[in-house]
Amino acid sequence: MTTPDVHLLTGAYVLDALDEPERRQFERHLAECPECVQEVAGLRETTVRLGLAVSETPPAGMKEQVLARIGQVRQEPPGIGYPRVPARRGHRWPVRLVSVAAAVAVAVAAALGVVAYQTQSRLDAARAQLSQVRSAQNAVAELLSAPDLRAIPAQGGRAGGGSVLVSRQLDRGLLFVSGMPDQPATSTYQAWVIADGTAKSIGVLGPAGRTATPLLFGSLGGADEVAMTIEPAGGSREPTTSPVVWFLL
Amino acid sequence: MDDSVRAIPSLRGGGLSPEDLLAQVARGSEAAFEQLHDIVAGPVFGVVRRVVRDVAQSEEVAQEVLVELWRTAPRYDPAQGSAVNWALTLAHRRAVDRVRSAQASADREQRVGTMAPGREFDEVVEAVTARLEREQVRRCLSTLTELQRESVLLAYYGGHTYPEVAELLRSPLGTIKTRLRDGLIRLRDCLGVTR
Repeated sequence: MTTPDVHLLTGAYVLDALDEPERRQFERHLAECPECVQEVAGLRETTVRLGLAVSETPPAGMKEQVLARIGQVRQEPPGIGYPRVPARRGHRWPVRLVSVAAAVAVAVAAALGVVAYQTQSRLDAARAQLSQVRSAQNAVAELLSAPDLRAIPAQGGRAGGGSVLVSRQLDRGLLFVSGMPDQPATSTYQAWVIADGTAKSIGVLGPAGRTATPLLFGSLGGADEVAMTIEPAGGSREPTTSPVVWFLL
Repeated sequence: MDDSVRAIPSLRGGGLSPEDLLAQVARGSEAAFEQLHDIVAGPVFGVVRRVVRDVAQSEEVAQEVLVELWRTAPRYDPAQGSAVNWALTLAHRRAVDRVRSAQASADREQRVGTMAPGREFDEVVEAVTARLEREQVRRCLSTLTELQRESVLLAYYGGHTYPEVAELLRSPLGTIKTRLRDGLIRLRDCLGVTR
């Protein structure tokens, strides 16, 4: 495509009427065409007027939901650029949990010999994080080599499942779940250890209800059950719904 | 660029401009975000709803846009446009993303193929005309040629790609590409957008 032709795409560009390849091509052209940048700015402001003209009162309750969600979303670092629409993705995990999860994933993969499905790059990324979370890794490695390690299958999961690895000797366990349906932004999965009918939270499994990540927990005491319930976003002090999945230790 | 903000009384509010608020949001202020939300939620929802149509899906997309606004606030650079501009750019892109997702695009292709020419355009125009609170936008749209106006409205409110617009309007691709640009330029000049 010759330059004059590309230049004609300013209108289609600000109207989001280009397909992905053409849009990328046009953005490359923008980088070296100051007049185009100027024209795009003016035309984009024009489309804003078209947008303002159709302003509409949002449904009741939308604001509350948005405000609740931003409390769980970390902001990006400063940078340059117009907002791009990234590939859709869920909420970010707290950094500590991600690191622990990465360490756990590597340790477990190595121990169970299931590295095959991991791509090299994912392993590399996980290994890079590993150095920062030595203690979590050690805790998992120790657990995996415990003489009394037992694997307990999930019960009750209509969709998804998982297992708990537990060592009474080390007073420590590791919870895996996967394939559970994602929860809407307003609710989350929460995991509990239950002893004598009293539940103690061992963690909220991700703001978006992602559950594929192992969760390390300690202080088993005399616990006889690990269970997961669905709770309002942010978790509850004690379970407020019946467990969707449980593990009898 | 502040024209668009000045022109809408509800956007002026008291105190801080949307740009000031967005700068505070970039530093993590949830209180500023709440104020900014009240300013942009209506336009954001309106744009998304125009493109996506289904109310439930529109609310979902509008929520994503507003959360995205929070998340990307530190990247906002006032030199590139107003805060409302930033929010609506995000809103329109998210909305077209939604309607162009795999399943939707299959449906749309079929619709584009079988639709009587002009029908969707009439719907759009009717809805827009009924809702155009802004005399000026309506007046300026009327200064466009018919093909310019139809092209711009189908692309912006209909969320169509320009090849789809060309098919809907039974016009050559190159013509539509040009009409989108010169239509917007005419609209820009009529509205007195100064950038």
